[in-house]
Amino acid sequence: MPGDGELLRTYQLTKTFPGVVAVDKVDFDVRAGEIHALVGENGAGKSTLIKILGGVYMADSGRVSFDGRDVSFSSTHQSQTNKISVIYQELNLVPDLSVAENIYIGREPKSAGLLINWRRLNAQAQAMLDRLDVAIDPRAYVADLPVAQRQMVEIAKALSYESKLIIMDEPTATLTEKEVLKIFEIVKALRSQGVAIIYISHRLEEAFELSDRITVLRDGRKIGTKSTRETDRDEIIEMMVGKVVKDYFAETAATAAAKEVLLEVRGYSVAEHVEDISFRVHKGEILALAGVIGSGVHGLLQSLYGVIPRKSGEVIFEGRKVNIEKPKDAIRLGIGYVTEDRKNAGILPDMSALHNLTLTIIRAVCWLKGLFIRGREELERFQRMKQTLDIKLAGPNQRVIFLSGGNQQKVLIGRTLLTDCKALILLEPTRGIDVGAKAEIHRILRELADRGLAVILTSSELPELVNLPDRCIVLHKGRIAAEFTRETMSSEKLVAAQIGHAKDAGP
Amino acid sequence: MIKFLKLYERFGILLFIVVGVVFLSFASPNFLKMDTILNVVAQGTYAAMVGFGMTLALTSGGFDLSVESVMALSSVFLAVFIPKVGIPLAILLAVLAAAFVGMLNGLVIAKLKVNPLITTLSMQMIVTGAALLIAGGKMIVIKQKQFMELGTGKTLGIPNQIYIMLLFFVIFYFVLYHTSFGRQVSAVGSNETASRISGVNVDLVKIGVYVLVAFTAGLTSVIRTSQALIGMPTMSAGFVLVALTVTILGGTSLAGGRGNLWGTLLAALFVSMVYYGLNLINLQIFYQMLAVGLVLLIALFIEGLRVRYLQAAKAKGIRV
Amino acid sequence: MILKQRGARVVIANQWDRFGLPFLLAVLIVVFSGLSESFRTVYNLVSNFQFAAMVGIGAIGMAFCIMSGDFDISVGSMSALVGVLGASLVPRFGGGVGVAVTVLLATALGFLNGVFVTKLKIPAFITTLGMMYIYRSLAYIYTNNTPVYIKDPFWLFLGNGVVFGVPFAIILMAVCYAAGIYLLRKTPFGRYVVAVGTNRTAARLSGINVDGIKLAVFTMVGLFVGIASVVTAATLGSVNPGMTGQGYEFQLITAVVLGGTALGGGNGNLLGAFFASMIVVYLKNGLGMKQVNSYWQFVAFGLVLIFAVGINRIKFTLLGMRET
Repeated sequence: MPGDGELLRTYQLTKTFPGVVAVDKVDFDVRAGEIHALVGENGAGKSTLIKILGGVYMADSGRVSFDGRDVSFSSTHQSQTNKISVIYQELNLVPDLSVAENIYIGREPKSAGLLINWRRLNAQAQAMLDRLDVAIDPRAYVADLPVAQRQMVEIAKALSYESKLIIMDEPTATLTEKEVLKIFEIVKALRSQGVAIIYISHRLEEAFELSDRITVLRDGRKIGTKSTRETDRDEIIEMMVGKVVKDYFAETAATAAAKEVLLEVRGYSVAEHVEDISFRVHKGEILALAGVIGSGVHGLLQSLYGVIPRKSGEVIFEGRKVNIEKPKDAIRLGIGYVTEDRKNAGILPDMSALHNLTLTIIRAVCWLKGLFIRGREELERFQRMKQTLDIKLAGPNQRVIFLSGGNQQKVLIGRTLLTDCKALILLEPTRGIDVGAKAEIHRILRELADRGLAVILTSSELPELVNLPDRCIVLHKGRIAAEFTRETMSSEKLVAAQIGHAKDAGP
Repeated sequence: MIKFLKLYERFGILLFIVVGVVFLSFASPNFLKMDTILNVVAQGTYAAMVGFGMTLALTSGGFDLSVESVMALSSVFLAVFIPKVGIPLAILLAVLAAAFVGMLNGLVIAKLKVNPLITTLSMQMIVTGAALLIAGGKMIVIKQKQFMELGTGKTLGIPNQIYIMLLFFVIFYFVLYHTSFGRQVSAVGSNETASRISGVNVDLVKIGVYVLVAFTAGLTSVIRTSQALIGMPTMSAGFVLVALTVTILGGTSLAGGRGNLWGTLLAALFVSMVYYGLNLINLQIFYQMLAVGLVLLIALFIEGLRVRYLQAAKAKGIRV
Repeated sequence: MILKQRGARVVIANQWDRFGLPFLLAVLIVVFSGLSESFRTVYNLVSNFQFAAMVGIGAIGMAFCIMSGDFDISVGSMSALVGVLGASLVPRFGGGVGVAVTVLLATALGFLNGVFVTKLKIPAFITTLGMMYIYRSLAYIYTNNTPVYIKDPFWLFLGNGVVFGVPFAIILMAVCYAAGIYLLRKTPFGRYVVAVGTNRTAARLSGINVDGIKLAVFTMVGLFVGIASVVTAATLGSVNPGMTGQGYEFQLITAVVLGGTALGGGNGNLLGAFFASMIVVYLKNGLGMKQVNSYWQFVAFGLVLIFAVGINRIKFTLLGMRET
């Protein structure tokens, strides 16, 4: 039996996916009426852990005990009715229904057993919203609500299930200062009502402001749990980042001083992402753009490649003003792009590795401008790129989905490289890839830079940001917060800048 | 402009109605007479009723191309069973047969996860074959003349079918907007994943939807058959088109989640007005199909432009 | 151990790809020959082969369409419309013009379909559904619901003629298939079509003009439908605004899916589509024989499509590929 108000405890919880152990024998506990912060870098396992608690995944081994009983959820609905609610980053709300309908979907109060009793429905929803002290009309359509308010609707939904444990995944990622304060109020109010909260956030300041205890995960393992009062930011960062930073990757050689400017961005804005950004990228340099969710980095890079439209601003490439409105424009200029969403936006799943790799240049290896593919030449170029990138596969015709994550990533990089690009944009280049492959890709990127390419990448993995790039620009809430060079970079400063404490970052 | 475009989804059909009424009143002095108006409304009841079902299907994020064959099946069932078990029981059987087909559709779409196009297209084939087989390929005359009362009778001077349509409208209205099931249908169409995570039994909802679509089609067929007194295994060619047209023209979104029942009803009236107009110029029946097809394309065109405009506005940072 | 299991599954799936359909076809022919005397005749078997040209040739275009992730259900009505238009021009302008108009018009209509789908961003199914009814009613209106007969020798030759002992229709079909397979496997266009169908976003990110590909694909559908219509009109000797092309879209989709092309888009099996077309035609013919109530055709066809989807599912699951 759990002691002194213990609500949840996991015993050696483990979950593996092909190629990676996401959650590694985690022992974790939460007490009733406590706010427990869960922190860690990307890939640390936070997401997976809460998905197990929320019924999305089933653990491979280990136990979960909740409110005195062993539990194992096979569906999200199960976990909800068992008084655990998870509020994911991608809110699970139905846009075309009202707030009250969303909260009570499937369990609306009825009159005469058939028709929805709107008065009671709205009143009940109002009661939940009142507990949070928010001014949202239960009859408003969710589609019309700003993100901050939608989040509160999700919290109200959790309350309506009389949840004893509410798990929030990055609740403040896309909120303004005022909205964040509101969330804090609500979270504290929930605590005083006896609800336990697991609070995941990249922003350590929030963890320190709100939580009673902080648990740090790294590489799927629990590094430690500290009482918030008895620890400080430095200690937590050290636990998050570990001593591994330096021996994780071979120290990549720093390059000579920056060369000429290849790409310049001025006054650049993208709706709902970044506002008035200006920076330069040089040939032969690896530039990292870093920022937590909501900082706008992804939107900025997507816009530079023409995936999403820009609102205003100029792009100057090789000295000339250019207009990039779709990916083809970017490719023609010599800008390459590797997506962060390998599975859904990168590889062509049922096609062979060969076809995947040569997709961008297939026209070039033809007779008569695209009339007949020269199979042998295609194969040659494929083999050459395969060797350069050291892609391991059974044969060129192997279906690309059977390749490991790292090799798939190499195929995507190779696909872009074949276009002889001058600038290469990569989003999360080593996400979901094992350590060995990570190092290989870093080596490749460094070699590309040494050959004169401008490499622009974004990453949420601290070790990568610290070791690989020559320069790092940190974005915070759509604007540039700080800029570091290789010499001035450090994990602590990066984290601080990302969460908005650039001034603490030092010179 | 943005406000207008957003309102268009709910009220746009009114524009069409107004234009239609104005145009027809000028074109024909007879139009504004009570008799004519009742006739036009009565002609629109079939499209309306099948349209209600189709509205439900689209709101759930799917659609049903098999409604024509279901109507044929019900018609044949009536012709075959009325002599054997009497009118009321035959109607019940006809409607149950329709509902059964709907259930099959729902099962294949929800459980086997085959996409609605293939499923309902195949079902259309199968059920057409079934209807033809049962009817022996012929139209079967129904000799029980009392059956005609249902479809052609009038109460208080208004054709029965209008009452039936209104009844259906009320029922569908309550189901879609005031029952948990109806709200779940909208939820599934609006965001299926979120609905599932929130505990909605998506499969059951889908099956229910397709059963209702077929059920409504079956009932509409009962009325039609009663008017013609013939069991027609190849009835109502082109009904799928009309049903989809009135649903989309009425403002129900193809994407799902936002069903517009009023719009469907009014759109059915509009289409009936179009038929009336075509009749005035004495155009043959083929022109009807052409007209409806064009109306559908116009409705789709407007919808396409509307969505693109709103998307572009959003990209410019304008609150939409 | 797992590798061995997977290997076995892959083998089964690949064997089905290679031998399953011809095997099925053979079974079909044997069964129906046993059931019905009139089926067994050489005349019947050969003329079926000619009919197969209509489905077979049309299936090429539809295969590309499905590979790119879309459907075109207006093909039946399109066939009727272009057929009556082309045939009606024969008395005044001769067979050559009639044929040319049929093919060109069909191509243009396919292009029109494509424009609607790419520019209006409406799901193809509903656009082509609307066009289906529009084309059909235009066919009725144009001919006042009377069939148009073809007596022109040139046109008739295209469907019935024999060259060195081989029916011209077969030669035409072979040429079309050669062209289709070439396009699919030997040109960038073929790669792009599959890319667009497999992963539209990835295709776009790689600089592929997705709209352009879709437009081309729909135009192709039209082109092949046009060719097929010419042959069929010749074989049947007439084009009927009501009857021609009824259920054609269904036959084509069935042929393509049964032939092994994935429904959600992706790699296509043109050779499979060929055999599947044969199966479709022989099945229709067999069920039309006196021994069987011909209305069973409808039921059978509906079931075949669902069956085809099921087989594809199983095959893809065996191969460990994603489900569509």
